[in-house]
Amino acid sequence: MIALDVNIKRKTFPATKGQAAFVALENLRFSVSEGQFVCIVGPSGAGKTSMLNIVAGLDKDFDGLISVNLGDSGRRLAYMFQSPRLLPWRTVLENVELVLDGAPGAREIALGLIGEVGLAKFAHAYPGQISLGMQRRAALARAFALNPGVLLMDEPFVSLDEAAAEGLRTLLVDLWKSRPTTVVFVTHDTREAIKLATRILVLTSAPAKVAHDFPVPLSPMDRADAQAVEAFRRSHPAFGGPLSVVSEAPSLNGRVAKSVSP
Amino acid sequence: MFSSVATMNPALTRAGWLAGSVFALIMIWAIAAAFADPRYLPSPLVVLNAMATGVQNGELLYHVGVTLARVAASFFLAMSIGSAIGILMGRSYGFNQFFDSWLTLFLNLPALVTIILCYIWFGLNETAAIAAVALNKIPNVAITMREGARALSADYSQMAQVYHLGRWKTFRHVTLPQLAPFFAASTRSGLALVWKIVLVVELLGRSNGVGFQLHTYFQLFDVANILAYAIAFIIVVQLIEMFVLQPWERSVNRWRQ
Repeated sequence: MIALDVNIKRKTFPATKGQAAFVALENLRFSVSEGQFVCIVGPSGAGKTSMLNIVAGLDKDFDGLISVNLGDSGRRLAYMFQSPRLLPWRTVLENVELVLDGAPGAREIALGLIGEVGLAKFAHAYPGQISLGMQRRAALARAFALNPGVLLMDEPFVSLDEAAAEGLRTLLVDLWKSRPTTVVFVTHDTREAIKLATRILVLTSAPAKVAHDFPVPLSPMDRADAQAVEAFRRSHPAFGGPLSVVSEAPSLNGRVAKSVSP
Repeated sequence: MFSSVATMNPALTRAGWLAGSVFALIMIWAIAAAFADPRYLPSPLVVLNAMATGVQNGELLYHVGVTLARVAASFFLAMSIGSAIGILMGRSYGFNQFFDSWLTLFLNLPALVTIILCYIWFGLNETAAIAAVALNKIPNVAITMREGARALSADYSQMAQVYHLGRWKTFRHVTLPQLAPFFAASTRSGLALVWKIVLVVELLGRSNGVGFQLHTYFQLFDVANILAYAIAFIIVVQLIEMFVLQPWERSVNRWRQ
């Protein structure tokens, strides 16, 4: 089943003082099937965040069509922003509870997820009292608390040291495996994309469109191995490697993703 | 932290300084009164005596109570209307452009003019009195709250939108906490301004309240009672500040520690 179908004909930012009008996205088309973990890689300023804001429904001023299929009724869309965007006047627990909208058992769900992301001892701490890495864990707990049908993530692990980022990646994959959902994860870090994704889309610089689209057929063990990740990266044409590998291969979930790369 | 200071209880230190400085002020007053004509500057003991008499016969408490009720009514009126106008002006470009000059006009209108016009147009009654005070305070509240509304974070409102918090929860849990410091600022300056204007309103057109009593004792040339009423009201306002406003501000700001 298709979870997400993106067809953005054009997204333009109007001219402002000292800046000419700017076409951020043009003919950006792709669809994501249910349960896929798609990483979208592109250069800085390619319009990746603009695309996520359109998909999330935050930006309605664009030309095109987005259809989101959240699966079971009651599932929602979640969006983990680049900054954690926790409300500083609410504790970690209160932040997670807020999005659960007073559903029965909201506190138990929130506490369970806070425990899973390793913040059990900090459930009653305010965001200002914990590190950025821990705030990101809290934001991850908030996103998964909703049992989201689609989860959008905008470079959620930048400006962390490598160990903290790696810990969060492992946590994200664990959560995704225990609570299957469709993930669209934007990053500029190709190694991070290979470690996480079942499928990678590479965007051109602005106006962004899809330049490459291919599956990542690596085993969990290979993904944990920096050398295997590096070997895959070097071998792939999208990242400047030889034009020989992967045109069609099963994704981690056993689905087949068609490649449109040359 | 300075280790020598940290060993003392900071609250006790503060109370010590306060007691010392108030005591010094009373001593200066007592010494000055010893040299002055007691009709012009009665001694602290005479004023205390006047205050005690006023409390005993119930007059002082009655008039302070009446004034407090007017302060409360006009304060809440000014805070709610001023906040609404300020937030709208901070959020809407057109609204701000249109009402900006009105705001400047009302901000520069002397309090006395508003009071006199209100009494002329609405008559010498309670409605006119409270409206006059509120009208004087509304522009100040609006200006402070406009700054607050302009500083609202777009990041948080996107978060609220994505997570479907809805209008009420967004207002209650995302918008209001961001406005709280601005609200606190206009509450503090508001209370100080409002009670002074209430006294003028009472002096000009009411037959009870602290302002009316001050007027009466002015005509009787009774400085002891004038000081007794003034000090009584200062004490009441300080108590409100200490036991209502400060605890509220602390609880709103506890996440900042």
